[in-house]
Amino acid sequence: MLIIALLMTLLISSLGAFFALTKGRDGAPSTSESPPLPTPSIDGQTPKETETASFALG
Amino acid sequence: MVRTRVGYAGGDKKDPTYYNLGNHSETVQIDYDPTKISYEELLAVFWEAHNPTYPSPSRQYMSIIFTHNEEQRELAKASRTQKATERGDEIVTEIKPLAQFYLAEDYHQKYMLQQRETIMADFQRMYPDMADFIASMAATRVNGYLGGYGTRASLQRDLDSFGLTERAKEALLQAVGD
Repeated sequence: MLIIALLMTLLISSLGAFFALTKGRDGAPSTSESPPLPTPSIDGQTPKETETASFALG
Repeated sequence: MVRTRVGYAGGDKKDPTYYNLGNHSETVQIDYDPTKISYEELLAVFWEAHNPTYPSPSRQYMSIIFTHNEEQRELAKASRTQKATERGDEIVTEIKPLAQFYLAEDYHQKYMLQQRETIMADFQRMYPDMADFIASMAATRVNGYLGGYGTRASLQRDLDSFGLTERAKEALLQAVGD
């Protein structure tokens, strides 16, 4: 009986560890298991002609 | 604003890193659409975003306008002169041509967004390659909203264009607040 209880404890702990690994800290699904998402529509509208500015501001 | 990235510039150390910066300064680089915003308007934001009369004790936190061409150089110089007149004080800001920009480490890019796990999980599914994520206009905009810029109304208007799941949209709205 003690061995069965010990095995059950180990199983539950392992499942907990597995879910902790497959979910983010706030419960978000792991990216490795989630299908890719399409590119955002706004990125499809990125202007081709851009200029660049660079600043260091303390 | 099309996209932003952060990095190091102005020094002569090759391949600087955050913990081995040499004489470079922390720098933000902005790709913008000149039909939507002018370089003069960006300069105005630059002056408002920091105190250009404060002499930095270290090269890491200097006030510098890195110019990309002669037109930018002339506009920057005129702007600095005007700012000095307005403030009646010495402006310590340097103006120098950009020789090389070194991209900062991944964890510095879109920093506010990278702190939001639910939203970031969506971006990782859209852009598994970090270079694509850094180049994303959607990531730039979301990072800006999370940094406290923009309005609730503009966020509501933009929200569907970011490609986020409903869960991430809710997280973004909640993070931005009212």
